[in-house]
Amino acid sequence: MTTSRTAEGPTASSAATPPPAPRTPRRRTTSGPGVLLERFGLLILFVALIVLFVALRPGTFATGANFRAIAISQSVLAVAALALMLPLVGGRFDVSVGANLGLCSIVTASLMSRFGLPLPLAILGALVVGGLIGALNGAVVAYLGVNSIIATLGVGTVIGGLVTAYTQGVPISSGLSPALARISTQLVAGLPVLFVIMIVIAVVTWFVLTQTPFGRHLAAVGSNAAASRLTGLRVSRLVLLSFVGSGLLAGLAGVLQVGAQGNGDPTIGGLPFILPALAAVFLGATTWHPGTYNVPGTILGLFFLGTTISGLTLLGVQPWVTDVFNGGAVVLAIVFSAQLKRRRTGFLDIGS
Amino acid sequence: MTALAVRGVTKTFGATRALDDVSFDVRTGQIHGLLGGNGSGKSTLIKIMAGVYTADAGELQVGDRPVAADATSPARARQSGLRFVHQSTSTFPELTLAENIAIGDRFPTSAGRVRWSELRRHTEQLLERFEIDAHPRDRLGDLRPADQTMVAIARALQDDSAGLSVLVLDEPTASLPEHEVSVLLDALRRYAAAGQTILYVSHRMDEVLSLTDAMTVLRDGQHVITCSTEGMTEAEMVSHIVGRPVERVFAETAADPDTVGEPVLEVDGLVGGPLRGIDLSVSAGEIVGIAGLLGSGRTELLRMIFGDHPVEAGTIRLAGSTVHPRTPGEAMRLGIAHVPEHREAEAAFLDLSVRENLSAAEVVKYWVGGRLDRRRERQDAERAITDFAVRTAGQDALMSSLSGGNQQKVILARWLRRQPRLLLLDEPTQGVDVGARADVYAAIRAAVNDGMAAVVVSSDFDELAHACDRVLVLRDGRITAEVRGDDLHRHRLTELVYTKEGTP
Repeated sequence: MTTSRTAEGPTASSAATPPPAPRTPRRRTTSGPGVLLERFGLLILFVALIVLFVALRPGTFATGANFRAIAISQSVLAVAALALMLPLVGGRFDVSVGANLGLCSIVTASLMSRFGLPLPLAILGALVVGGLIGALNGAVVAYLGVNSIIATLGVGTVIGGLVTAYTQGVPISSGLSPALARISTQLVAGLPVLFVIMIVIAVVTWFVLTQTPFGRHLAAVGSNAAASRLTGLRVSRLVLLSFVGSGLLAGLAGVLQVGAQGNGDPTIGGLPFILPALAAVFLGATTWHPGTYNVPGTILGLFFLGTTISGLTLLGVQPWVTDVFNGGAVVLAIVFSAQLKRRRTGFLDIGS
Repeated sequence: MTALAVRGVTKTFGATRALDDVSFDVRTGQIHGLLGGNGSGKSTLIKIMAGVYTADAGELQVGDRPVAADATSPARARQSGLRFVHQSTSTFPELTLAENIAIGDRFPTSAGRVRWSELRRHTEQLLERFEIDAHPRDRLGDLRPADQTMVAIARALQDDSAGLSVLVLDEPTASLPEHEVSVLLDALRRYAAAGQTILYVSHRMDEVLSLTDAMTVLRDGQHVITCSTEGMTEAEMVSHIVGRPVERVFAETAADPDTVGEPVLEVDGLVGGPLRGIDLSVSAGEIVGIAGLLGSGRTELLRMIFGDHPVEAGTIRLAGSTVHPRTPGEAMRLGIAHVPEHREAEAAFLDLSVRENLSAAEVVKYWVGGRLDRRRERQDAERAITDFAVRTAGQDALMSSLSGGNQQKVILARWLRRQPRLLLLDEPTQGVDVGARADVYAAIRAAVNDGMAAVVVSSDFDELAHACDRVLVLRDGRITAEVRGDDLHRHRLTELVYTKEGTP
């Protein structure tokens, strides 16, 4: 019962001047070593990792060619990671991203190779197909109330089957636009074109999620769907749109995949293919803006995982290590982000 | 013989004395009513018995087994013979009766395999003993509501022979339709006749009068009376429950007669859910309270006006023109705002920042020239935090780091910033400390003085009496009374809410 706070005297106690709020230190203030470590921990780890590999394998790891190889091999996955992230912001999974990506790469290659269409029309075709698959996923989840993992797992499996039926498992490599193949060889300011395209897509996704009402509304749905409905948001429509966006990004990733690999490969896609991207999304949620799915964290997370794999390969580890590492990374990243959520909100749901 | 003795049980929460030296006896084989208004300490006592809370002092004695009230636990409550059936929350409608009976680690097994035939026999015996006309393989959800409650009772008492345990029933009829209530009450009478002791917690005077042998009334944490039900009248019971007035927790401010203006909301013959024809009118510049018990339709009334509950019949007029809001979004565009009952589940975005919570209902407002105007959003958030005296580390702090009262101020600010014509509030001070309550009502009053209309639903009648200009009593889906002026106090509201139409 101290009186220090009422020092201004009784006249100041009217409703116009509320008593000063007690400034208790909270975690999510803008400074402090703990906060900085949480925000930039992954970045620091990433840099330390590069330094380590450079020291261990100066001749092979620390070369421009190797960094370009990582940039090219991870760029398609980075776009896939963004496709996974969008529905997750609204609290839903889209595990059909890999299959959708594979389908769209076949659509791109096939439109050019078998139908003789120019590159822009082939890209448009891939976007239409990707967007329609996303709309199908979104409609089933948002309007028919099906669990998103199950719905998209089913849709993804159907897509995989249709792709095999159409291609008979044979890659499409003739009659492709040479311009598309060049994105993985040409450089802009020392960076592969493919990498630059990925950065542009990431910036657009970042803009949509953080600088538009749609992004804010989607984050509200992901935080509390009932409260979103009672603040006038059209929850089902927002969820549907997040899946359409996811499908469009998967379509773009499919186009880029043709450019990166030089052909339409029917074996690309599926769950194992996008596992590192899924791990990156959850890893990203533990950094940069801890506790929220965010674009910089996701991209950083993906390159962190990709660089680790690359470095380990150069150190001569067996190929199976890659699978173990990617699978382990997904589970660990989700555990981290779940713990972070519990620390921030006091809740931890059992997995669903 | 005494089946349950409560001796000197005391419990404080911070500065609030929820129970103050409460003692009473329940006799074996009797149905004993436990009554009290909101904040009487009734639920606290039940939770201490169940081992959810521990008391500060006192003792419980079940039969000849004493339990220190400051060391209760769910396991100890079980061992001592206390059995609890809470409303309808602990049964599984999708499962069969046998599965419902066995849930909670009581499946008979051999070598890890469930012995279904044995479980079925056991369930059949129970159903016979509790006179429930059903088969062990029936799905619980297919039974009529009264029978579902009886199954829950059978499950709670399955290990006891009558007379050795005390069954505590917490508002068992709250969610039952009227004709089902008598079925359940008849069953309870039969169980008691067979020697079962029952502690019956209820809001409904008529049930307690017709069912119980004796009753105990609590008020403001104190024991008021334990007496035989014989010779009691509803009026006497209500006077025990209401008692003397308590201290006022916030300053009384009535509407300035000059500011009460044109009707903002007019409702005619509204039917839907539990509502059976509601007529009411609320004018600019006034706060109208709705007093009703749980299940009276008070929540549904607000939801219908806010476009979040289907309307079966009737009209809603807003500022003279008929409206049919079908979604909350449509209602919001008409100038209606709604603060829902369950803050954490339905209003707060706990893992988002205070700023995002404040802007949640009008993000589009900041969408200017192809991007979100962060600077203006931050300024608005800063102003709201100051205006509503929100205690927070800053607008970037997470909503979950705020106390319940401060969260509620943020929710209120979210809606009042939109300058609605009509503000609907459902239990706006639930889980809100006394100081913040005053702030919440001061903010509502200020907006009302600027020409808004407000409707407040609360089960705290003292609060309704002080904060509202007039209060409508909602009972059995209808408005049964309107109270204003000198009549507007807690006792009168309690009388009207608890007693049937026509009784004084």
